[in-house]
Amino acid sequence: MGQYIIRRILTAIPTLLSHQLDHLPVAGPGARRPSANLPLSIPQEVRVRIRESLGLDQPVHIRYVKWMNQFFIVEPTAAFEKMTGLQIGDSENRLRIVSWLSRGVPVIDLIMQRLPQTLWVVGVSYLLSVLIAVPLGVLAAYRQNRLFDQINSVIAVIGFSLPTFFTGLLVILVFGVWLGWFPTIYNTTLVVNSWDTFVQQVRQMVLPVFVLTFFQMAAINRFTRARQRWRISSWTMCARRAPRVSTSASSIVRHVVRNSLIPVVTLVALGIPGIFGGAIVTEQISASTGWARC
Amino acid sequence: MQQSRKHHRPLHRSLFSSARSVRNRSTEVSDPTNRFVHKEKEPMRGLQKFKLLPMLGLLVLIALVVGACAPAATTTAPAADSGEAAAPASDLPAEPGRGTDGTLTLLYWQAVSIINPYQSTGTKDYHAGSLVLESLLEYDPAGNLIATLAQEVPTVENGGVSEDLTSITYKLKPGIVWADGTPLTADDFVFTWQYCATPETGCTSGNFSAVTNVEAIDAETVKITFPSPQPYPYYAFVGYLSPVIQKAQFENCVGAAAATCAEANSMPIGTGPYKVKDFRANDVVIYEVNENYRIENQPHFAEVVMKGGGDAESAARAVLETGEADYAWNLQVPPDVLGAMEERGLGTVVAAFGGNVERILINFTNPDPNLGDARSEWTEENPNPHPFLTDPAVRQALSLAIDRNIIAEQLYGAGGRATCNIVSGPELYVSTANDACLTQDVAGAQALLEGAGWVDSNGDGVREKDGVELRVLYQTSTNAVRQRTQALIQQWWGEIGVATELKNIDAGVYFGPTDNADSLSKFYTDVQMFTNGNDSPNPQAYLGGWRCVNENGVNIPNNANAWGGENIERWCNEEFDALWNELASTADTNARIELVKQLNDMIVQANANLPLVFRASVSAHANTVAGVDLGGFETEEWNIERPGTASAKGRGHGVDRTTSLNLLISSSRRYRRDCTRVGRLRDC
Repeated sequence: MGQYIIRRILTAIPTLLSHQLDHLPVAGPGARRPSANLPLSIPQEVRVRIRESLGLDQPVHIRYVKWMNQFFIVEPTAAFEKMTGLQIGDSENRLRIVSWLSRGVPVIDLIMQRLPQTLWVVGVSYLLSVLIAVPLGVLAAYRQNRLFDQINSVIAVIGFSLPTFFTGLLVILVFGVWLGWFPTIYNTTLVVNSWDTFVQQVRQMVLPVFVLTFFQMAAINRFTRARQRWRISSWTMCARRAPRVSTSASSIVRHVVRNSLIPVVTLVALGIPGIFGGAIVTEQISASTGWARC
Repeated sequence: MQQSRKHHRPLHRSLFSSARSVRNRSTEVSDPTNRFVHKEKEPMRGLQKFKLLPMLGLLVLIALVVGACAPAATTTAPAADSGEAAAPASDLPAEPGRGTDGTLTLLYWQAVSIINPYQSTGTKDYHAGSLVLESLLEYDPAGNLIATLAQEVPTVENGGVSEDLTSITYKLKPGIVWADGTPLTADDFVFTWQYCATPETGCTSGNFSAVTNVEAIDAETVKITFPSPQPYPYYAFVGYLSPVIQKAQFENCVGAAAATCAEANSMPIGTGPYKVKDFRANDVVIYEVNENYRIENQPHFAEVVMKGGGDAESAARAVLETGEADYAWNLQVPPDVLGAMEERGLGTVVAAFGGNVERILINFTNPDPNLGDARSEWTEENPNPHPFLTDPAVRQALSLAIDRNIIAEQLYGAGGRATCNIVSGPELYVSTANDACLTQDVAGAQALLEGAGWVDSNGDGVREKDGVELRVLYQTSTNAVRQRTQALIQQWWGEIGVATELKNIDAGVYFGPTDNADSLSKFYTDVQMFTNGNDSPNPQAYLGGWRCVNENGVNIPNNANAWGGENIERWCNEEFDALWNELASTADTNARIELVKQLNDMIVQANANLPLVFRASVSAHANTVAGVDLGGFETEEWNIERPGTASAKGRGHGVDRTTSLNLLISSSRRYRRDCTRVGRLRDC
């Protein structure tokens, strides 16, 4: 087992490296390279000098090592300093990875600035979806093919099949535009310091959280239900049922839910990166002006 | 044969048995080999599926009912909304003063990434900067100059411009201070020029390109010197593209350091009505009143929020449908969608016409791929003429076949007007000699081609002459409106016997570096379409783009100049060059207007370029913000500074609010000169 893990980690290294090289602005013509958007009014030789000042004239491997240094040493140090307030070495003159678009703001700072926003929406929606989906899934499995299960299935299938950008637009149209209950713009600068601002925060979170919860819930719900079914119909439960051993709620929880939730936990954990993707889509498309654009 | 039969048999049997298993479920259950209980459920599930269908149908029905009911519910919503929005207005003090009018929310769906205009490449960033930074002169919507930081507009008559037109001297208004309280001096102007003139700074403003020196005569006098006579000297420190920045703040940001000056680039100190309170790159800018602003009782809004993100449609919705924001900029939304939103009565759609014209460019050189590197290549020795587009009759026919009004109305709505001129604004420069092209004339076009010997002799629907068929390749950037325009024009050209093949290219590539074969400068097709326009109210530089030879040599993109020329049509006319040179040495305004019109007519009547639509930037404002249309409040902010202008008369709060807004709208209407190729050939 240990060997297996080591082998997996070792194979991960070249994979990651090739991915990074792919993402580095490797020299060569391309509309998206960082200096490509310089205005044409800038003469060619100046353009070259600007590229040089960005270190783009150096060979790829040098740039790669430099980038590794920035990514694995400089940026974590800066983040650490920011969190703890400690100073490590010459932090002023450290070469940070900066945003080309905003000319000088370090990228990590920008991400840190946005992260809380996204985490709030994503975190709350994920928590909610797990809290709602797991009990629903268990109940649906237990009441298989009854009315409750059918309604639950229909909702889950709808939630699973509708992409977030569609549900996002839909809820904005219905609850934002037609009914006017919730704002369609997320105010990223809102500071919660009173009851009013808290209500405002909750109101602006309702729609994005709903959209993400609806989507996430569906998958977890279906998966939980399937696992439950599998457990319920397993030998153990069959044996339990046979001699009129109780099939009460406590028995279900003890023997079915506990055992069957193990893969559900894995699914939930694996879904976390995915929901960031979903949040980006939701933030970009459906919620007017960005739910914490990262 | 035997084998295949063998294969068939088990198949039949399995089908039969599965059918039986559904019918006789009980036998399956009693089957002692089938020990797993859950197998019993298998056929059940199949039956349940049939029950799900009506369930789904019911759900759809419910959705429909809810959907149908909802619009009815909306009729009350806007009333409630507008009531809410109007409420704060009534709380405003009767007499407007500094910071009395609350918060103004502007939606910029293309979020602001930097506030220093000299480092920016996007219009949105210039807008964000224009609230903070000011220049010596500004343009009003008609293209007239207004003094902002300067005491007056310098002219030859008042002695501000030297007799030989090689220098201009500005006197600053006395007592102007920066937002931090330190005085604005001529040194700041000298510094700004040095900042931008240092090549490594990567300054994105071209307004200093014809400046050899900026000097401080005294603390309040700035003198700008040019290398040659400039009949129109108002570029440096004029308009929102070249404001003055504070020397004390930017001193250490000159050269390569410019790109790393995060603090100065995101929070520049200015002399304008507002200062940056909080800035999150690509998200939001919050401005607060500059207490040191020179005009008393202004600005009226206590806070301005420039919120970014989302898309044009959601921005339009927030202003026109939900009333959450006061103003939304650059609404590239289909006209019918925007119209439906406007009908809710919460806001108004306005259009700001600058000088941008969507046009079709004709290639005068041969783009035949068989020519290899020599395709679309023009040199003085070998102009490489196009096989049929060099025939004036063909170009004329192509123009006549187009119904510009349909394109403008159907595809651009409030954002466009049909036009026949490449100089379509400002108004005073617009020629009326070409308006005939506004009427489509398919029959005329056909007759024209017929007369020139282009006939469809082989009956394939395409005209030809001497073995050359009228087949064109038509390229543009990937953009829904452009593709629809292409489709319309393809149809019209088909009617006159010209076969059109369409091509669209990602905007990043098409407007991008010229080292790509699909870039517009290489022009490897017969015709192409994009938007360009005069960035300055003075169209001289813009018209100069059609010269065959300019001060740097050949002005036609080719191998030798790395496709850097501006004359993308490769249309060469000595007469035009001579007339342009006359414009470049004429200082008299009326004579200049006449020359501009003649130059415009020359290009348009040669059909080197087929102007289609005069494009505007479409914005929307809440009705609580302005009761006025765009033309009504454009000049207000600038007039206020001028003594004797009655702009302050009898205004209510509605108009009041627009005074501050005006700053933004007029800045979108002001013009850019020599800006980036990507910027000039705007595709935003």
